[in-house]
Amino acid sequence: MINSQSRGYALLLILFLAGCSSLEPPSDAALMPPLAAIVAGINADPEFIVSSEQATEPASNDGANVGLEWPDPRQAQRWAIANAPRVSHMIAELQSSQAEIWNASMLENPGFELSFLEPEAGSGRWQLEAGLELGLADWLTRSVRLDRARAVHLVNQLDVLDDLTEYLHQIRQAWLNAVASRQQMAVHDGLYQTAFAMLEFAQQVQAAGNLNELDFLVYETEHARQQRALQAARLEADIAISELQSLLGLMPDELPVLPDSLPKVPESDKQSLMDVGQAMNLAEQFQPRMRLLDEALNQQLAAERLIKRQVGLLDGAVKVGVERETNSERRLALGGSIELPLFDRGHAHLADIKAQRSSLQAQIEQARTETRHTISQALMSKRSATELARQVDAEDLPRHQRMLELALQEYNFMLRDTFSLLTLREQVFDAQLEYVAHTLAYWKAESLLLKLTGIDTDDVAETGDFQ
Amino acid sequence: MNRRQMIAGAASLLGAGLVSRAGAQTPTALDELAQANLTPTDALPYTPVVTPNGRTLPWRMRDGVKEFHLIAEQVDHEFAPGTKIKAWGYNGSTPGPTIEAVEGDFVRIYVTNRLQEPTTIHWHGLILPFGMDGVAGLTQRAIDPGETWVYEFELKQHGTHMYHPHSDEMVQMAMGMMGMFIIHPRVGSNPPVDRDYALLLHNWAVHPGTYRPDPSVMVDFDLWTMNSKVFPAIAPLMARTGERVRVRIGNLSMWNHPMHMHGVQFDVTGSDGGRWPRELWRKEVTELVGVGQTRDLEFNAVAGDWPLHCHMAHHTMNAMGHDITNTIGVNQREVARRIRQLIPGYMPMGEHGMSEHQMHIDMGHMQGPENTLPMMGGMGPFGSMEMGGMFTLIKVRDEGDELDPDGWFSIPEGTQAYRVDGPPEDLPS
Ligand SMILES: [Cu+2]
Repeated sequence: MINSQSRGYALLLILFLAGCSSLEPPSDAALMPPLAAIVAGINADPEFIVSSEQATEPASNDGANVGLEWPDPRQAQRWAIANAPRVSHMIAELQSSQAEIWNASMLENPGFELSFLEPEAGSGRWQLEAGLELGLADWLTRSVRLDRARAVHLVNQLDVLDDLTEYLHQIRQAWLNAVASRQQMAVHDGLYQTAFAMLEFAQQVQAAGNLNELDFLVYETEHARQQRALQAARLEADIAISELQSLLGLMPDELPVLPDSLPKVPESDKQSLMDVGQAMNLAEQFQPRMRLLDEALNQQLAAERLIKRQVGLLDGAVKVGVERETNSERRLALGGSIELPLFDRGHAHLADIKAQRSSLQAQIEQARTETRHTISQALMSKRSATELARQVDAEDLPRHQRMLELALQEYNFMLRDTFSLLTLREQVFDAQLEYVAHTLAYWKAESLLLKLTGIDTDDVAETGDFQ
Repeated sequence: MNRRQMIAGAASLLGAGLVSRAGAQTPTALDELAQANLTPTDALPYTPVVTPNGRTLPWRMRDGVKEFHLIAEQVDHEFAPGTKIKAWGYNGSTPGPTIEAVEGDFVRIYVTNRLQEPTTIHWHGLILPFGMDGVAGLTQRAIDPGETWVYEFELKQHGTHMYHPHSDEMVQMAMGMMGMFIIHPRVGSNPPVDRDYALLLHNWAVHPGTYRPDPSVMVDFDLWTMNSKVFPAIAPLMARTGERVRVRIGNLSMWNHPMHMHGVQFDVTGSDGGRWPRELWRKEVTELVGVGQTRDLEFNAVAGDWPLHCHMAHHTMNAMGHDITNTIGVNQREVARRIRQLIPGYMPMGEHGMSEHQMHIDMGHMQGPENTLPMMGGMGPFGSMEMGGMFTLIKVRDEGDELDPDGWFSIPEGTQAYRVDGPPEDLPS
């Protein structure tokens, strides 16, 4: 018999079950700091989120008009976070991960059963049966499942963070390549102008009857060579810009405004003084890849715990039913079922997890070794490039300039001719090319270190709102 | 009574014919002179040689022997204001002091080596005992640093001679070690000379911006000198109108030099073979003084500021590039603008010749390398003479006019080239 009291129990039960189905994501789904700051930064000021369609609107392809002024790579990175499709994709992945943890916090929906039975010999009412079935395992493994979901969520975030870090690194590299290639192109233009001046002078000397064809052809050849070099440099600059645009999801006519030259190598650079050990400490704390592997291992441990719990629990279900007989008599029915761990005691899963754990441990070792070597190489490159760039800048270039000055004095006294002056001028440009190469090597090594130590993404996140 | 009057007096006393000026004083008297620490003066029995920009080596008499002392050493030398080098020379100079003596003298020459390497002195053209010839390894072992050696011999000839090392000779001569050795005849011959000058020709590889001669250079020298000076730092040879002037020229360089004199036909009267008999004299305006040779050029001075120079045009230039683009006729108006953008301060030059270039330098528009003289220069009363190297002037003045080495000849009216508006129309050309 169901009286009003039992109706009340049923209602409470339904309310309780409804309560289990929270409508807000649980706090476990919160994002780790750099990601949280980045996501918050993007959402905080949606005005800054300019789609590339909007950005292309101005007819002018002057980057200043579309807000693409990037005096340093950081601006490009921040712009990418706010605008690049690749970041949107990563954020969507994060949201999906958040949804998953939310999902894990929920219980399996209870089953509801309703059945009708025709009365015998056509007399009386139809017999009616209503029942609720609720799996037990969900209830009993909820905390372990949540643990595992949290671990998965952490891994997912680190995965996104790893992607983001790699992406920011690629942007930094692309920015460096774009600026360096522009700078090199300008130097090649100088070389070309010099060769052109030589050719023009040679033409005049030949016109005066003072230069034979053989000697003239030397200058014509040099001019042609420098013309080709300039063309190649121009192509390289165009490709570098295109690569940057491609990374950021920009159209070809959306040209960012970049500086004319790479920043100078700083005079004192703490990072260069850092030893491999210090850098490794940072990497172990912040590098998403290494953290990812560590957390993947944790995730496997959580999965293992879950499986053990599940197997130990003997998965079952409880059933509550109400039955109305044909004679209108009502009865309550209670029932239960249990899964017998006769065949699958989870041992296959456990074996799989164990194998994956060994694989992860090996990967962690491998990642650590690789990181250490790459950090060591980056530090060596940085130190060397610092010294070389400094040498070329502080010693070589002034020396070449001085040589030109002295040569001009010799020219003034008819001790040297115009061709030799211009040849020395070429050497000044050559030294400038060398300087750009060393500076680029420095900043690329710096970029690699930022990526390996994982501090680049943190720094980007720290800057707050993105544009 | 000045020297010229004394000589003129002696000549008139003896009448036409040979004049024995050396015989006017006995060796004893010379001895006394030397002991009084006198250097050659007017009182000597010969017209002393003047070495422009140089000096004559002092001597003393000891027991009838004329004693000299040469010290081989490093010297600071200036070719002209603006170029100084570390050279090697004798007694503080290059060339070393001129040795002057008389035929028949017995000389004893002390040679002290203050160089860092062995040296000797070879008495170029002197007739002397084999063991006194100063050839390292052949007639003696070389004089080591710090040692003093003695050369002594009797002067059996007269003429214009030279001395130089014969030990690491190529280097030591390139560094400036050389000098003149003048031997006057015991019995002079007519006509006597009133002024006797000695010029020693040399070439130097002092590359622009450097401070030491480069002995490895064989052909492409930077500086061409008379007594180790370049024009306009070579002292002019001074004379009075009508005076008999002798210019003794020796050549210890690595090129032959056709020495050319303006204003006179000089007589080539002698060499290291002494003053030749009259019948061997030749009238010339240019005399080639070969490497290792000496020549005496004599003439009666004519008023004016007459050039005396080597006629190899590059030898009257200072340092210049010899392998540079020829810009004569090259129009640089357009390209110079382009070049200036690459090399600020670049000035096109040479389209119409190099005078324009010289003008810029004279006006201070163009800075040259350190320790380097402009290719040419030398201001005369009417502008730049555009000369350098082996070029000097013989400044001859009439009696009564001041003999000022820095002064210019005042040209008598009607005797100077003048400008006209144009040539006569019917003048053939
Ligand atoms: Cu010459």
